[in-house]
Parts: sequence; structure tokens; C-alpha cells
Amino acid sequence: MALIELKGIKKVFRQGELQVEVLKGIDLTIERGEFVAVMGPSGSGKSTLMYIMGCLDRPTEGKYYLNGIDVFSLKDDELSKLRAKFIGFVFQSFYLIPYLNVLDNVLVPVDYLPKEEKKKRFKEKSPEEKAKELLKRLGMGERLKFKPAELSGGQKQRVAIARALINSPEVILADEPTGQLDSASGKAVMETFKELHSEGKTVIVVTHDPAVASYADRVIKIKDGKVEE
Amino acid sequence: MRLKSLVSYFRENKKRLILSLLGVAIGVFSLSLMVGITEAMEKRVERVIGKMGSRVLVILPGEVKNLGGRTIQLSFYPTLTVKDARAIEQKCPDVKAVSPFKKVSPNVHHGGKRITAEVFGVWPSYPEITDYKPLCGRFLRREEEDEMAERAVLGYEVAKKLYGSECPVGKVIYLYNAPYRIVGVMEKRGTDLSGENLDNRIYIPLSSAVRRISNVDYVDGIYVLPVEGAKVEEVKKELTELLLKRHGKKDFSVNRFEDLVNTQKQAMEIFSRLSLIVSLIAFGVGALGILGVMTLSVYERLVEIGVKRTFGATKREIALQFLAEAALLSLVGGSGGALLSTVMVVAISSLAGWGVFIPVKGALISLGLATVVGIIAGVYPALRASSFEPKEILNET
Repeated sequence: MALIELKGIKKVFRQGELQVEVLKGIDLTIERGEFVAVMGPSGSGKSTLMYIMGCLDRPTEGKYYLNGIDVFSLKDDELSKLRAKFIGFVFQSFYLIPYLNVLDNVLVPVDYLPKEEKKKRFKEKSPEEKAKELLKRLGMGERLKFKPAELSGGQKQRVAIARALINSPEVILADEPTGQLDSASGKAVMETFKELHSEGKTVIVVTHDPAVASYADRVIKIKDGKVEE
Repeated sequence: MRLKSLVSYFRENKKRLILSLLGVAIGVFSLSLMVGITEAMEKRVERVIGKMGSRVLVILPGEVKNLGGRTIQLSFYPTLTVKDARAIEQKCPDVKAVSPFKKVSPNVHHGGKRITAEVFGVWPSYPEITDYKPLCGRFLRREEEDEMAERAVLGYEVAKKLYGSECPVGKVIYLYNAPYRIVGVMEKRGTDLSGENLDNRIYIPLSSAVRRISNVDYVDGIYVLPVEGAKVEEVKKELTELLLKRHGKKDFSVNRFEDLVNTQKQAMEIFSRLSLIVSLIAFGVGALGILGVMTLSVYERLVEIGVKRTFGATKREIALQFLAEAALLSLVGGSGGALLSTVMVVAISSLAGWGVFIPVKGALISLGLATVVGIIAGVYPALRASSFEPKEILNET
């Protein structure tokens, strides 16, 4: 069973009279353990595709199976819990909560994991221990009490990656993760993704940057709402 | 953990936090202050009436009216006399005990020093009527009244001030340089509702007060205790008829002691009602404060909301978070107010001599109300917070 299976995904945005078809029937399968880059110029619909894969948006048409679950037959609340269980998000603008320190930012997703999953996933280590371990591994072990404003862009993104990993999700979904970073920090972030992939995580990176895409094993090109692999 | 974001957010917005807490704090403060004082006062009223007995009648000269909850003597007549008291004693079969009273203000000296104390002339029956017992020694006697004897009984505080714990029977104090021998000390009484200290008194025979000290023949009033089983209203009528016959006009009033106390209580109740209105307004302002601050915070915490939703928070969880936060804010503000009002009530009731009283009921009622107010004020911000879709917040284009 494939981890991600998209079938005939279409997305139409209505703007008054005007109807814009952003995704025009996407078929895509991603297996467990793959490192995939979704590439395309801006306006190609890759962000919309990312939102759909991340269960943050519903397609106008088509089917999406995540780990065999028919995602869009689910209610909103169930969709939320699916995100909590399966997906770790990394964004271009980091989206760290400015008034929480580094450690607390990383711990945010833990609260929203369903109880029985929480018990299972934090059986060996408490969330705090795991967060500290992740941050240490990402070179942020010394800055647990720092506020996001006190960190550089690269450091912020590393905190965001730790946050994405805290619940041990199946998939890391990163949207232009290097978009706001200098090339050195960007490289470090991509190396981290590569390392996670080598440990068996499924990593999907959405980008317009060929250099970023080059880290991936497989590049899926989106153009005009269609896949050009 | 979920409260951490609230705490951290307001740590960076302290002024706003204080403003949002202030309204509820004031609301709780005034409400529990009001409930506390009313309660303390009711206890005091019960004690005062309980001691005096709800059956005691007070005859006052002139006309007494209850204006706005206060007993006001409309006109003064020096017409109520010791003879009236004697007549009541002899002619009213339903009367068990009678004692006129007259307050005089001589210079009181003790050991060469002037002291301040109220001097009251009363009859020997005074303790029976007011249910008042000597702590040591005895009260005044009939023959001392008849002889205009220079004898004195001290109130609890006067005795304590002058002699400490020693029983001063046989010692002497001076009223206008005349020596009065002390024959007893009365038990502790506290204050009456108007705040007058009932223990800072010296009792002397009425005849001494009227003839020796002020040299008049009228008294300030007459206490009457009806016999057991007699209807208080009938005794009141009996007394009125007798005095009307003696004076030829109604230049006096007969009141139940309880009614006199109750008019004071009514005055306090009007105060209570006003402060209830004040506290309700404060609660309203407090609710608006929390509503405003929480709604504002929703817009400043969009990243938090977006991130939490993205990482699996349902709308319900977000709404509940904001609701709980609003309730918590209100509760924190309320606790501050409750604490302050408890301190105030304890201070006021002990200063007023009502005895130590801790207003648990008022504080609990107000805290409950604060929580409810917080939850109500939190509904709108909570709905607002949960109305955002994560992709709207996190849309990067």
C-alpha cells in the first residue's frame, strides 16, 4: 500500500464569475521512505497540491488515500487528527509562535495528538526529553529558552523541523523550506532532510529551486496544474 | 502546556493583562465586600437583638421618625421624667422591669488623669432588661438609687484600661471631683450598630446622674421589659395610653428596640443594594474588558492558531482553549478582588467591633460569578479564533 495516493485531483477556485482550474487532474503515488521534490514555477499549483496532500484543503474532484485512508470522506475534526498523526509541516516563513521559547514551540503539536497515539509514541521518552534530544541533534540544544526573535533564519527553521518531528509523523511536508534562508543555512536544512530520509522518513519538499530539488531522489514537476515527471 | 501560550503572550503584554483583569477584580471586590459587610452586619444585628431581647421597648421623648433608614428625633421635649418611669412600674401590670436612662458628661478622673468614658445613669433593673451580667462585683442596688449614692459600675473596657485584669471593686473614680466607689465591672459587650463602644461606659445610679450631675428632672429615655407571655403590641398600647394621660399630648414615642436596630440595618441594606449595582456594572465592564483583550489577542495570535490547527488541533480545541483562557483571566482578576475584599471586610468588621468575620460566602459567590462572566466574555473570541482555516492564515502568496 502506497503512503500517498492521489487520483484525478482537480481544484477549481471561483472568483466571482471567473473559474480558475488550478489543478487539472493529478495522479501521483508516493511510497513510504521516498524523498520527493515537487517542483514548479509559481502559479503552477504546487502550493495548492501541497495543501491538499497536507489535508489542509479539499480538492474539487478526485480521491486521496493517505496510508490507505480515504482522506476526503472524513469530517473536519477527523482530518485534524489525521494531520496530527501523519504529517509534520515545515514552512517557508517558519511560523514559530513568537511569545513561546524554542522548547515550548517544539512541544506545541504534542497536545493535539490523540491520547492513545500520544501514549504509544512517547512510551520511552517524555515529550520534553524528545524535544530536547531533537533540538540537540539539530544544533539547538543550547538555545532551549530562546525566543524566536533571538534566532537567525537558519536556527528558526531548525526549530521548525524539530517541531515537525516531535510527534514522529510518517511524512515531513516542507513548503519552500529554504525560501527565506541564505544558501549556507539552506544547504544545512536540506542536509537535515536528507539525513531524515536516510533514517527512513518520507520527505516531500515543495520548491521552485532546482538546487533544492536536486537533494531529492525523485522530482515531480508540476506545470499548469498537471504532472510532468 | 496549553496555558503556556496564554502566560507567555500576556507576559509580553502586561498592561493589557492588567487592564483586562481590573474590571473583574473591581466587580468581585465590590460584590464580595458588599456580601461580606451585609453578612457581618446581620450577625451583629442578631447579637445585639439577641442580647437585648426582641421584646424590649424603648420610650423616647419627642417624635421619632424613620427617615431613609435612619432614626431621627424630629423634636426634643424634656418631658420624659423619672416620675413617668415610676408610674409605668406601678400602673402597668404587664411590665416586668423598667429603667430610665440618662447620659451625662462629667469630667471623669482617675489617679489624677482625665479619662474619656460615657457616664450613664440607670436603675438597678438595667441589667435584667438588657441581659447584661457583671464580670466581677455586682450591679447597682435599689437603696443606692434611693440614696443618690456615689457608686459606679465600670464597663469592660474602662476597667481594663484603668486596672488591667484586676477586679477594681472598692477603688474610687472621680466624677466632677466627687469620689464614686466602684462596686462592679460588667461583661464585654462590643459596639452597637452605630459604632458606639458599649464597653466604654460607667454606670451610676440614675438619681445621681439626674440630680447630682446634671440637676435636671428629665431623662433620655425609658427601657421597658414586658412580662413573659404579654403581647408586646399590647404593652406598647398600654404605655402609650398611660403616658398620654400623664402628658396630655403625644410628646413621646414607644418603639420596639428591635425596630430601632432594624432601621439602622435598613440603612445598611440600602448601601448594600447600591454596591450590588456598582458591582454588577463593574462585572459588565470587566466582561467587556476581557472580551476586548481576548478578541485583540486572537488577531495577534493567528500564527499560534494556524500552527496549532495545522498540527492537528480541531476547531473545538481552539475554541475551548480561548474560552478557558478567558475564564482563567476572569478568575485570576476575581481572586485578586476577592483577596482584597476579604482583607477589607476583616479589617472593617474588627475596626467596627463587629467581631472577626471572614466573608467566605461573598468571596465564593463572586469567584463563581467571575468564572461565569469570563466564559461568557470568552464566547466571541473563542468562536472568532476557531473560525480561521489554517490555509488562510498560513497562505504564503
